[in-house]
Amino acid sequence: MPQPSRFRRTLIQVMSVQVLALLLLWALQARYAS
Amino acid sequence: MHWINWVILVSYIVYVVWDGLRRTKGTVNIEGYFLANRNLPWWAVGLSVMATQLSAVTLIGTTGQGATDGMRFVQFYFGLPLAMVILGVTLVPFLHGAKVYTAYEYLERRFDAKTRSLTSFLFLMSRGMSAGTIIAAPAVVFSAVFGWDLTWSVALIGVPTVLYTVLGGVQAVTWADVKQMVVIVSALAAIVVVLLMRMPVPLDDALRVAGATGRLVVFDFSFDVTKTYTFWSGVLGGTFLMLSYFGTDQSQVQRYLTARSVDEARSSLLMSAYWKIPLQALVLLVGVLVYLFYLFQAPPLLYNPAHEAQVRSSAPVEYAAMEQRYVAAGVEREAAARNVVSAREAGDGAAETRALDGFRAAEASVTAVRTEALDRAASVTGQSSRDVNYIIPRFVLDHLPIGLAGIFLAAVLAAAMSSIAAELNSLSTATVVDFYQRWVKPDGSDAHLLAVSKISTAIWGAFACVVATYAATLGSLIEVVNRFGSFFYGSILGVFLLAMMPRARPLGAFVGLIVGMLTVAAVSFGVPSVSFLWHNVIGAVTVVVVGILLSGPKQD
Repeated sequence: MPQPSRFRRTLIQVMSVQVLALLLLWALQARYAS
Repeated sequence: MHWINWVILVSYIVYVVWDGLRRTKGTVNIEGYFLANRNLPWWAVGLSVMATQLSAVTLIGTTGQGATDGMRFVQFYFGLPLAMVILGVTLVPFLHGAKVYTAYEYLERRFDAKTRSLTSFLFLMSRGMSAGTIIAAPAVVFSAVFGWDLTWSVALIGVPTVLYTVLGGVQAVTWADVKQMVVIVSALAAIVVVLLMRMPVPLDDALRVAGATGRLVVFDFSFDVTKTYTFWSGVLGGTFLMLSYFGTDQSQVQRYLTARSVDEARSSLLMSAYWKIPLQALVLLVGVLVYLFYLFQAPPLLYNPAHEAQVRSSAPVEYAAMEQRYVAAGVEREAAARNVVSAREAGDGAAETRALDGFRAAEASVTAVRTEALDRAASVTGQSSRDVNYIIPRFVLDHLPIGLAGIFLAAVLAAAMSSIAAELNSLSTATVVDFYQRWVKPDGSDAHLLAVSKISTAIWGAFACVVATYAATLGSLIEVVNRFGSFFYGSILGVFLLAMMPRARPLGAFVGLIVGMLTVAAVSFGVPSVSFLWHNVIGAVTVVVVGILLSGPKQD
């Protein structure tokens, strides 16, 4: 099976971090800014 | 400032310059000087891109913005990861594969020499000035906080940076950036730890108090083009801005041209997006925590010591009275904040709501006195107070333990140096490759072009320092240049988008670029309420539409 390129691996990691960051920011707003 | 802080600061500067000098070895031609022989590891390039964007303004201004306005600014970066992915699959393979030195060089291959020269010239104009402002922003703060002459502050930041950039080229710039990222992130993390340790109430309660002031509103989904920071302006306008900045601005393009392959270039770009949103959120959160810190600790009425001294000497009795009112309002606000905490700990929802209302009223009283003081400072000094930029430096010098203040100041210097170094290196590249080599000496030897490149870097460095020294008097001129810069950012992106469309022709690209800039200028002056983030969308779309229309029917 061919190895996925570094770009694809980095892409998945980067997007995961962004989604996690947005979720945390959303949680921060939901808990404290209401 | 304590001598240990000075030792840390000076040691850091000496180390960065020494390391830059060390990396001059092996740089024998302009490919080595400007592109590190296209042989840098992707993670170093990624960190370098990240460091370049994290300017001193981010550390000083954005933290201050977090303290006064809260977290909403983070929405500005929502388009960045998206832009990096789009660039990774579109422009990066084009530019890296074309083996160019500058992004604009590619435009000559695709269109013609005049489109290349115009875009490169626009880059030089806007970036030349902005290099000055990048030095000026921290220099002005340093000179106000330490009472130095502005020229000395500019020299402290500018001279070491110019030295290692001139001598070491992009190798020195990139490896210095890697270290600078480490210093910046460590300093921020240390400040967070100190703030958390010194918070007199539980963090959960403190954040609830900050939330009551609106500082923890992160997402604003209103589709209002007059608001600068909304979810939509960040995702749509921000994406176009980031596409334009990372795809067409030589200071960024040059970073990923140094990578070993297209795959590594794309990865480095993505790597720089990795921590952008979390890091910006952290920077803003530091500001929010500093705001909370000053709820329980008497804050200065004016954070800028130079302005404070001027206002105080111009009307001592009035200023003292204002300070007294400020202290009284601050004491009431602290009591109101503690009421919120007590109500939460008692688990009394109704009492908490009443306490929060009381806190908001007390906060409004504090803000009213501070606004009065800021207005007074503006009228006495004749300058916009920009007091927000002094919140963090004052906090650092007044409240951080010995050693940590030195590390923070080193981080501010590091942030300024990394941004300026990248600008100088890219300004020199565009000057030498797009103008000197293209129009003056196409057959220049490697040694000759390398010497010209070093001279060009030094000249741009001197120019940036001069602009920075006169930043206060050039204020309106710099504003005009920055505004002019926003006219063509989106338009240049439009030209690069056209370059990837087989149908586009040189005439369409050149005329499209000019029409795009004029359209954005018309919108900017005609409908000034439209947020600048939307200018990038308008410019890019106009250039593509005009370019395609002028390029005629599709040719087989």
